[in-house]
Amino acid sequence: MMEEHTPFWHALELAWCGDGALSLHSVRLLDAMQQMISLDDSTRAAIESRFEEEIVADLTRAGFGCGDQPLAALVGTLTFLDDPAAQEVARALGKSALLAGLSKERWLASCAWMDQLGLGTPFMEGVWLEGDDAGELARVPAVLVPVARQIGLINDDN
Amino acid sequence: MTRVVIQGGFDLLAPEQILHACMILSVESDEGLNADLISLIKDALGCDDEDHTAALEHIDEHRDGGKWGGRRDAVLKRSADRANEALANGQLSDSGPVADGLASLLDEGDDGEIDPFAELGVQAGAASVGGAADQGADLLAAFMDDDEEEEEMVDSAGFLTETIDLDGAPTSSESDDESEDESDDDDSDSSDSTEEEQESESTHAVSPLAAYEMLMSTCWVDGILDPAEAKLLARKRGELSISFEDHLTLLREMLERES
Repeated sequence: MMEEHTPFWHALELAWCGDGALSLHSVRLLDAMQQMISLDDSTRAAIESRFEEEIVADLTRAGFGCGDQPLAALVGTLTFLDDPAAQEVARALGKSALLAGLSKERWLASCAWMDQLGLGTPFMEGVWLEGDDAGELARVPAVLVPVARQIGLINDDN
Repeated sequence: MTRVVIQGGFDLLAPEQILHACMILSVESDEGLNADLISLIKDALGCDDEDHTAALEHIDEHRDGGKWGGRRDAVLKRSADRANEALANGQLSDSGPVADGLASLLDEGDDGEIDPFAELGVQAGAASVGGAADQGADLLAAFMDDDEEEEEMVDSAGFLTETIDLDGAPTSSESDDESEDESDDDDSDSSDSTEEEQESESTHAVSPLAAYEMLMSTCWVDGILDPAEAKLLARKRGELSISFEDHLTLLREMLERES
């Protein structure tokens, strides 16, 4: 399964992994994120269950849930999804991924990320050169930085 | 990959791996599994019946009717590489019946290597220009060119309008003419020829989706999808009227099979 490559899994990592605790603020932010990406309850439940089994079980509490700050930043970047250009950016990201060289693993992981944001189809079209030619990717929106890093478009240096 | 490390820093393939590779080559040969040859190889490698049975079971489990889960070319190449390596490093004698039998299998593998593009008639660009010798010469050309000539060689269903026999030699219009000439002399020859042509055509009667799927299965053969491959597949989708949704479904199924 590819839950570990989805934005919601990433959000759970931010929420939990800072100090091994989940604050009430983080819970609310996760709820807000679920609404913003139109994640259904059963899918969220499946992701959270697996996350708790594989990650939370091994955490040691060292605070009061400081992960709410980076999580809030992530949720803030989701406003990009309301941008009319989001679909075109996703297509451009797909084409850039192709030009960079895309392995099966990166394909599956990046599709999982983009799918959960509702941008899976334009991203896949960009990769497979379907339809009109995708434009150049001028810059990577913050919400897509993790996937861009995963597919090798950006690294820690840039 | 399990290898046997020997003094001096060299490492060798394990005997059972070599046996397995030789059995794959034999199973995929035109004659099918040559039990006598495999028995000789087994003895030469010092393998026992258990190794032989395990290899056979593995082949039965993964052969997939000769498709090897869409990785036939890669499997055959790896097997040939292992057999060649065993011959080169002396694990198998480079003379005698074993060497002769293996040489036959390896030659057959070279000559009979299945080129999915030619087989399916979706690699017309490179093949159409220079005849049989050129057809296998540069498979990458199929990815690289956008020649209009290709369109002339492919019918609306995406198959070669020019029939290619199993050796890769085109049954050109010239040879058709010859068979017509012969038909004037001997009707029975003509009917034989027609049957052969029909048989040849039925060999290539692959549905567009199946043809596309086989083409797609080559796109990650080197582990990386590159723009030329994506471009070729996009063009074929258009030519074969395959929707992007169908493409994604086939892709998902292919990746699930491989996982």
